[in-house]
Amino acid sequence: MGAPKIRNIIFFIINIVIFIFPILYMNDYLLRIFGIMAIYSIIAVSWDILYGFTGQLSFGHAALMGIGAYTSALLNLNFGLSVWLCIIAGGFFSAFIGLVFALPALRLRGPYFVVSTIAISETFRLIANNWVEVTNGPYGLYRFSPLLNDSLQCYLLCLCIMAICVLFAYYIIKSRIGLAFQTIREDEVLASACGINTTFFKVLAFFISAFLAGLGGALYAHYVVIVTPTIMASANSCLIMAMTLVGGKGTIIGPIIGTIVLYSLIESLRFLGVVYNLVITSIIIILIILFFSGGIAQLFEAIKSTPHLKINIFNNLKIKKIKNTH
Amino acid sequence: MLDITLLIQQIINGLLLGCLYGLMGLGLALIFGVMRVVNFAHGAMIVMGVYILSTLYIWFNIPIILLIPLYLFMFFILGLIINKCLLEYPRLRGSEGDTSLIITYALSIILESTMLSIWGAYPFSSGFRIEGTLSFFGISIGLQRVTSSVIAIFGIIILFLFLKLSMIGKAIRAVSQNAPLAWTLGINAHRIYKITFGLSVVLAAVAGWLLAPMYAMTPYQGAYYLTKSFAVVIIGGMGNLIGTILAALLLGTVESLSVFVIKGGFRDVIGLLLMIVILFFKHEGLLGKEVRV
Repeated sequence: MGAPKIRNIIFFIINIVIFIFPILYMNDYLLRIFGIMAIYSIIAVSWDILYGFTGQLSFGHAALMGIGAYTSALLNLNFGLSVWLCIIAGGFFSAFIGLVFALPALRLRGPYFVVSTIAISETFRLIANNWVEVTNGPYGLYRFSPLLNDSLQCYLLCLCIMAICVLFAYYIIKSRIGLAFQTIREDEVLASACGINTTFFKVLAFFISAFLAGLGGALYAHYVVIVTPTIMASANSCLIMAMTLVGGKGTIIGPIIGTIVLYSLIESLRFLGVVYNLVITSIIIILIILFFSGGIAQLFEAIKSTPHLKINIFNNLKIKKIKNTH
Repeated sequence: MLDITLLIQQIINGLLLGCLYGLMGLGLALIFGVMRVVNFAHGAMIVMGVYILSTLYIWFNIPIILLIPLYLFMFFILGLIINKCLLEYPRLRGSEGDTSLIITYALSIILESTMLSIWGAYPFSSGFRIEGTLSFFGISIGLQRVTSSVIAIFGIIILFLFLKLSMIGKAIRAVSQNAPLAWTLGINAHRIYKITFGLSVVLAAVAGWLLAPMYAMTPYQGAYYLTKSFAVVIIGGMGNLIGTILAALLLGTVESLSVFVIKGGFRDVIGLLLMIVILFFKHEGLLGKEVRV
C-alpha cells in the first residue's frame, strides 16, 4: 500500500472536473444525467471487481442492481423506514443475494457459469414481474420518498456516495484481498497452490460486488423514484458491461471513464430514438472487444509505455498464429 | 380431483411443445459441441426467423414452395456472415473464452433493436395459421401444434441423418470430438465451423417459424426462447444431441403439467430452476459426458 500514483491523481482530477461541469451550468437536466452517471459508475466499478479483477464473467449484474432497488423501495413503502436505512438495507440484501450468485461460481467454469448467472438473474426478473401482490408486477413501484427534494443537493450526495464507493473499491483492490482476486483471475489452480483460499475469495468478490451494485441500485431507485422489472433486463446488464469494457476492465478508473463516455453518447444520441442508441452501444462493445480488449485505459497505458510517444495500440491488430487450444 | 383426460391432454401438449424446444436446443448444442461457443444471439435469431419469413410471405408475396428454400438459404448465409465478421477473428487469435460470449450477447441486442425499429413492438403473428383441432377420446389438441411438432420431428430426423451419414456430418462430429486430430486428418476445421454455425442459425430460424403461429412474437421475446433453449441444453448435457432432445421433451411436459399447480407467470421459472439445480449438482447434464471446461 503505497501512495497513489501521479497518473491516478491526474485521473481523479479529470473526473472531478467532469463532474463539476453540470454544477457550473446549474441546469436540472444536466444535473440529472450526471447524477445517473455517478450512480452507474458505482455499478460499473462493482462489475469490474467481479470480472476485471476476479475473472468471474457474470451476465446477471442488473439483477443485483434491481434487487437493491426493489428492497429499498419496498422497505420505504411498506415500513416507512428512512431513505438512508433503506439504501443500506438494499445494499446488504443484494450482497446476500450475491452469495447465491457465488454458489455456482464455486463449482462451474466458463460458459456453464455464465449461463447459470443468466438463469439466476432471469429468475429474479420473472419473480419481480409476476409476484404482483408484492412488487406490483410490470407497473413497478412508485410513490416512495425521493432521495432529497433539491436537485443540486441530490446530485452532490450521489457524487459523494460514488466517491466513497470508488475509494472503497480502490483500497480493496490495492490491498492483499485485491491481489488475491487478481491471482484467481490469472490462474485459479496456481492461486490455490499458493495457499490462497479461492473459495473464500470468490465468495468475498461476489459479496463486495453485489453490495456495491445493490447500493447503486437502491440509490438509483430513490433518485428516479420508480422501479420497474426492466431494471433487471438483460439490456441493462449489457449496458453495465459495456461501460466497464469501454473504459477498460481490470482498472478502477476505467469503468468511471467508460460510464461517462458511454452515457454521454447514449444521451446525445437520444434524437435517434431509444432503439438506435442501444444498437450503437452494442456495436461499440463488439469493436472494443475485438480490437482494444483493454478499453480506453489501455490507450493511456500504450501512450505511457511507448518511447517517443508512438502509440503501439496497433499491436493488437496483428493476428497471432493459430493456437490449437485443447 | 384431477381430470384424467385433461391430464393426458396436457402431457401430449407438453411433448409436442418439447419437440419444438428440442429443435431450438439442437442449434445451441451443435455450436457448443463443435465450436465451444455459447451463442447468446440464438433467441434473437429465432424471433428474427418469424419476422423475416412473414415479411417475405405477406409483403413480397413469394409463393410458399419457393419461399422455404430461399428462407433456409438466407439464414445459412446470415450465419456465415456472423461467423466471418464476429467469431473468426477471436478464434484465430486464440482468445475465445469470454470474448465470444460478450460478442454474441451484444449481437443479440443489435438484432432485437433492429427488429424493434423495423417491425415495432406490437405482438406479431405469422400468416400461416392452421385452424381446427384433433379430437379423440375426449382429448382435443390444436391442429397447428401437431403440424408444427411433426415438422420439427422431421427436421430433427433429417439433422441426425445428415450428421450420421453425410461426409460433412461426419467431419462435424470429428471436429466436435477432437479438433486437432481432425486437422491432422485433413479436415479443414474452419470450414466445418462455418457450416456448423450456418446450420445452427437455420435451425433457430426453423424453430421460430414453427413457433410463430401459436405464440405471438415481439422483438423482445428472444430472451425468453434463449433461456428455454439454454435450459434444454444444460439439462441434457452440453454438446450431447440425444440428451438435448430428451431434456426438451422433459421440460415441455413439466411445463405443461405445472399449469395444475402454479399460475401462469411463474411457469417459466420452472425451467430455469431445474436448470440451476442440474448445473449445480451435475454440471455435465443428465446424459452429458464429462467435458473439459
